[in-house]
Formats: sequence, C-alpha cells, structure tokens
Amino acid sequence: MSLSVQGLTKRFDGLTAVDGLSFEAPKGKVTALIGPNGAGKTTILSMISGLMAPSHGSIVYEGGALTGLSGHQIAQRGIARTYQNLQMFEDMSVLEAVMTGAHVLGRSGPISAMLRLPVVRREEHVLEAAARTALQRVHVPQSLYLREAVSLPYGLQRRVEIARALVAAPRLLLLDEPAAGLNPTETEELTHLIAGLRSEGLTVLLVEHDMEMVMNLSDSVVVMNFGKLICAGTPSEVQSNPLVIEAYLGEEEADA
Amino acid sequence: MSELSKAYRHNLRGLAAASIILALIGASTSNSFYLTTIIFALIEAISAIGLTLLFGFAGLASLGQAAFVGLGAYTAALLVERCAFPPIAGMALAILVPTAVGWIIGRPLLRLSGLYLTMASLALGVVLSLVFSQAISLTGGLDPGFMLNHAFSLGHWTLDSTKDMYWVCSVCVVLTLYLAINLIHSRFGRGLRALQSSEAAAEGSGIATVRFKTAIFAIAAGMAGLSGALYAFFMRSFNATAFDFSLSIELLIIVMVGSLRSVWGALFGAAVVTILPAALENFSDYKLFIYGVVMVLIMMFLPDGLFHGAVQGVSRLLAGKDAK
Repeated sequence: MSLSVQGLTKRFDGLTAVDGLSFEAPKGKVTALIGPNGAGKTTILSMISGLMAPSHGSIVYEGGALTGLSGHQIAQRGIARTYQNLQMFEDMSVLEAVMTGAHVLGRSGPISAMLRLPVVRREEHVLEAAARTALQRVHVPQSLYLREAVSLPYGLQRRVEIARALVAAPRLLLLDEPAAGLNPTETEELTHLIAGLRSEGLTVLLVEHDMEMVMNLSDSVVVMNFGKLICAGTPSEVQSNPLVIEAYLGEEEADA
Repeated sequence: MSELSKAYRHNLRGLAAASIILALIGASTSNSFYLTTIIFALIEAISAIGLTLLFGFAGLASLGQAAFVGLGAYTAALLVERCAFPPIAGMALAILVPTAVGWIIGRPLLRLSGLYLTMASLALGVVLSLVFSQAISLTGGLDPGFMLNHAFSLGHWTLDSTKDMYWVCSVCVVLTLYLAINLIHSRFGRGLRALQSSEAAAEGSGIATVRFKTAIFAIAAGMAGLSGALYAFFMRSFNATAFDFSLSIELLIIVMVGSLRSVWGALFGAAVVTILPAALENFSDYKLFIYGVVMVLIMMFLPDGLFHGAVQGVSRLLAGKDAK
C-alpha cells in the first residue's frame, strides 16, 4: 500500500470539510477521488501534501506517518502535486519553473551557490537535463522552453505544471483537477500520459470532475460528499452504486 | 551550451564591463568631491544589492536594513579601534556579525508575512538605531559620535586617501555583484523566486521556505554589514544618525528605482539616489522638488526600474539599426 488515510478530519471553525474519511491508494494504481463541488477533495490533497494540518486522523505513506511534516519534507519523501489553480511561478521561464520543481534532486545551499563551487555547476546541468526530459515527456515544444511560463496558453501551462511535478521523480503524484480547462483532445492526451506513468509504477491520486476520464483511467474510485465517504470500489462498482447515483452521478445525468 | 548558462555568462560579461567602467572612472577622476559622491553610491549599492535579493527576489520588504549597516559599521570600528584588530579582519567580522544576527532574529521574524514582516523589520531598525544613539560608551552616540583613528589597510599597505577608498569600494561592489549573480543562477536563487510567487507550490516542490527566507535575510544583512564597514573606514568619524530610518527608506528607494528583478538595478538606483542630490546642489530651494519630480517620473515611465529601462532602450536602438 502506498498511501493510507485513516479517519482523516479537517474542521474550519464551525465547518467540517473532511469528516473521518478513510481510503487507500495502492502502489502503481490510479485512485480517483470524486465528489460534488465542496465535497472536500482539495482539502484532502492539501492535508496529504502538508499544506494544511489535519484536525484528526492519520496519513501513512510507505509505512511512515506524514502528519506533522511540513510541505517540503513531504515533497522530499517523493510526493509531488499539481494545483487546481495552477500556482505557476511568475517571472520564470518554462525551463526554470520545471527546474525549480527538480529542487529535491539537488543539494547545494546558498554559500556554495554564491561561490559557484564545481558542485553547483554540475548540479545546474543535472537539474536542467531533468527538466528537459520532463518537458519532453509532457510534449511541451522545445521552442517554448525560454518563454515566460505564465504567458503560455492554459493547456500548455497545465503540462508545464505536470512536468514540474514529474521532474522530481515522485513515487506518489497528487493531481488536482488536471483536466480542468482542457479541450477533449488535450484531456485524451493527459489520460494517456497518466496511464503511461502508472505503467512505470507511479502511484496516482486523482481529483477530477471529468467522469469519462475518471472512469476510463482509474483502478479504483473513492466517492465522497460533504466530507464523508459514500463508497469506494472499481469504476463499474461505483457507477452502479445507488448512493453514488443519487448523490453525484444521478445529478450529472440529469444535467446532461 | 545551455541557454541558462548563456544567461549566466551574459551577467559575467556585464560584470567585466562594470569593472572596466569603474576602473576608468577611478583612473580619470581626481576631483575629490566627485569621488566622494561616487563612493557613497558604491557603498549604498552594496546594501541595495542585498536588499534586491531580499525584496526583489524573495518578496520580503525590509524597512530595517539600516540596522545591519550600523551593526557592520560599529563592529568594524570597535574591533579595529578598541581591540586592535587588523582592518581587514574587522571588515570580515562586520559581515559575519550582521549575518549571524540576521539569521538569529530572522527565524522568528520571517514566520510573519507581508506587511507584518515589514512592520517587524521597521521596529528592528528603530530599536537598533536607538541602541546606536544611546550606547554612548560603545558608539559615541549622536555626539560626539565615533572617531576611527585607523585607516583601512591590507597588511602594511595603508589605504587612507579618497582614491584608495574608491578602489576598495569598487572591488567590494564587484565582489558583491559576483556573489549575487551566482546566487540568482542557482537552485537557491530559483527557490527564492518560487517562494515569492507561490509559497505553497514552493513547499510542494521541496523548498524549505522558512529556511530559505532566513538565509536570504542573513545574506542581505551581511551585505549591509559590509557597506557599513566601508562607510566606517571611509568616514572615520560618524554618528548614529547615519544609520537611522531614513537610510532604510533610501535603500528601498534605490531598489525600486533601480530594479526589483535584477541586481544590476542596485548600481543604477544608487547612482541616481546619491548623485542626483549632489548634482542638484546649485538649485538650493528647488533641490528636493526636482529630486521628487525625477523620482516620480522614473516610477511613472520606467515602472520596472532604471535598469530595465536602459536595457529596453539599448535593445530598441539596436533593433532600429538592424531595421535600417
């Protein structure tokens, strides 16, 4: 088991955003976390990635507890994520933004950097090579590497963001609505990319509203509403569960 | 060669050009009034380079840099005058002591964000400025101030003339720029820019944001300390008013007028802020008015700072030539 969440709870003053949620994300599988808006999905990703501290419950990753660790310590353990609202680094070229994502591959500190010791020079080459590989992986054209990242069209920024997460060679990837704002072709490419990553052994926890993508891609689906677990299972099990249809998919169908 | 090392080389060539310009100014200027004005610009530029890293790159606006300049000045002056340290050792400690102080007080201070950090740094500046003016047995306070009887020297080589101090300051500026350029073109430098833009995504990329902020705060304090030491050795007689709140403001203006995105801006900003008032001396009553108008015009028409304005101007000129 790669990631195991037990009794996870997050309270904001009066509001309970996540309420005693438990689920597991098996190694080398894509686990989708779905639910209507405001179900608490992003809050869960934020707790796993150390951006928020849980009020209760435990998050265990590869046998060690993540609760109490800060964001950068969690990143150093091989967990990378993308964000619903991109969080792209401003004033940076595409290449630099992805090299920043490769931070954990380097070791040099400010003093060796100021003196530009040989170790720093070597490290710069390693980080740049890693960034180029990651960008190729997500099919960002090389002609854009020196463009300012935030000036790119949304779909490309999404890819740069995924490259920024992949470049550090994580073992667990948290994706927060990666298909949001993408056109059907881009979504299909993204689906292929994630399936490819899974075949290389990467564990993926996917928060997504695009049901077609979720059902095609996921090995298991966790459905939640109002911070609570409704059900979990394979895509077909979840799709036939009356509770899910009532709470979530039913609405979807009615909309369509 | 990769594009990024090209950008780095570009900066090194700029540094070589700056060294040549400084050497030419030094070789051709004998008027001590001009030299003195330029020395003040160079000394302030060193603090401003540190503040550019802190404010421009990491997004941490400090209104307390004068405290570290003062700390550097008194550390160097006291060690040389009272403890018979060689001036170069005094200068080294004038860098190390503010760096250490910056590191220690930086950690609690930098847990604050945005305006709160700025207010806390302002408080730090005010408190230390009070200490400088009240600890008369150490600093001489406001009156009589500190008298440094020893000139700057390297071994037996005494560098006491204005021209000598010009060379010392020029070398220090070039070295500081070199360190800053190296720092920016590194994993650490990218980490600073990342945390300014999104602290969440920086943490998510494995960047220990609090440690990074503390480190750059300490580095900026060290650079401020170096400029303080140079000030002490150049002035030899100074009092605590030199390190009050107005210096912190002036450094912030230098950075904003020069550039928030490039350490080169510190040179441009320092030149304008120190040389302009000296050049306006003849306008007596209108001096402050003209100074203010120039500053407003710069901020209106070159919001990215003088450095980027200059770069754009030059590239437009070159593009115009190509078109013909």
